[in-house]
Amino acid sequence: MTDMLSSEEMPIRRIGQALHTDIAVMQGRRAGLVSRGVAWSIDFGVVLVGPPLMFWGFGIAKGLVTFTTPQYPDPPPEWTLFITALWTFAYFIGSWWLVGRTVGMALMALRLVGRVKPRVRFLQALVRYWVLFATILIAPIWLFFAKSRLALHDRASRTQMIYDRNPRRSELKVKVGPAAPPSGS
Amino acid sequence: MTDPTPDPRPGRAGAVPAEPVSPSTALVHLPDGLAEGTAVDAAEQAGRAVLGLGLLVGEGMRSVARRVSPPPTAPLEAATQDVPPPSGVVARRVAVGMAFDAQRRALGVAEGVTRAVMPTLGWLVASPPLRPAVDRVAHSLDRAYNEGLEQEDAARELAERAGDATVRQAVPLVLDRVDLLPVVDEVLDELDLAPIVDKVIGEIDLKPVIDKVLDQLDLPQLVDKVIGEIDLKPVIDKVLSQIDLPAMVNEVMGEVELSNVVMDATGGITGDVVDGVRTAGATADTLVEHLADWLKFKRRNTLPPLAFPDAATEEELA
Repeated sequence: MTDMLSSEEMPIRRIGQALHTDIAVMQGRRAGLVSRGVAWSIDFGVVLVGPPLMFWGFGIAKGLVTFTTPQYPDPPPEWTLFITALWTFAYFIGSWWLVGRTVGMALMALRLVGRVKPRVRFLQALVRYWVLFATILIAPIWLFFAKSRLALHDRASRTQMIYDRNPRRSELKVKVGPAAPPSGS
Repeated sequence: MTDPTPDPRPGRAGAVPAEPVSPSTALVHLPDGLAEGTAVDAAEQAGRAVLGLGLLVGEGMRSVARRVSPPPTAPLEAATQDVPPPSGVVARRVAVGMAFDAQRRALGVAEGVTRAVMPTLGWLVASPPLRPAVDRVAHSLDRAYNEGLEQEDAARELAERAGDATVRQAVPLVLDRVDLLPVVDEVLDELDLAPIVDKVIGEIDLKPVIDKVLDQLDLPQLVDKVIGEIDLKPVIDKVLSQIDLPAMVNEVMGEVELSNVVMDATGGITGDVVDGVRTAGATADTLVEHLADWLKFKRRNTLPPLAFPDAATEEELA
């Protein structure tokens, strides 16, 4: 079917070709809803998979120490909830604070930076985390209509999500502060 | 009188089919043995053995004499015809026949006499007046018999020792003096082993043998036993001490350049896929943004805002 129709006959493809955005051109610019949503989905998966993996690691370690067959531990539900919440908190806060990106953001070439400096402080990460989960239902709608591509938690924590293909934060070639006046002007 | 006990030592039963009988037993049962005719048969057998031995010696001497002075070669026709034996051979055969006939007659007479005399002789031997004397004689014979057994054993042991010593001394000497290699080569040259090997392999069905061996062999238990009895640690330590493992690993890794191989094999594909996803995401961002603008009745054809507008790139300024 797709072979029978040329690109001119498919409107969605024509629109896509017209709006085709080179990721290299977007370097250093704020990221939009879809890229951030995909990154969030990946991070959500990491958050869900993390606690079972930790439980399995604990069971294997216990089996090695006690010379018994490794078994998946059966903790009480409140313990499971507590460990999951702790893991989620540590994952997001640590990733944003230490390296500026989570796993999903790294895959989507996104980076969280401050509004003034590239480095995100711990307090900024903490505020962003709580506001994000407090406004998680309206955050996508807000971001959809936000011209500045800043969500509520971005504004509250004075952070922004940008396209950044550099693997290291130190390679982010940005200058801080007002730009130097052009020579001759 | 001692009992006739069989000798349990090895070698004797093989040498003499019947159980060894002590002299006293033989003495007591002498009339029965004679009555059964064993002595007659033995005498006839001994006579034939002596005759055969004499004939062999004579044949040997005659062959030696023929080699020293060979007779003139007879024509082929004469050799193939039935030639009557010489008169000397005829006379010898007649003498042998007469001797054996006379021996048989004499032995027959002796047998008859023995059958008549021996019961009386046995009765006399077993009679109370002669019993002490017979016992003394039997006792002396038994003692001599036992002493003879001991001497025989000692002699046999000495002979075995001497044989072993001779073999120990002689075999190395012979092997040292004799060059066996040419002999073996000659034998192997003469011997065509291929047909023999083919025949043996063709006739032997090895599968049942192997199956039986494998059935009777508890291989896991054997392996466990061998592994349990072998202390591999010294061997491994010695091997590891003689191997510069880090240098070897570095050399291998240097030769293989694993990282380059992995990066070449996976990096390109992964990078293309990831870049495609990222580009699709950025395009979708732009599309969503245009959709939002359309919903807000606005039109925008600019790029998304820079993270740090004060640090604008040269491209942006241009």
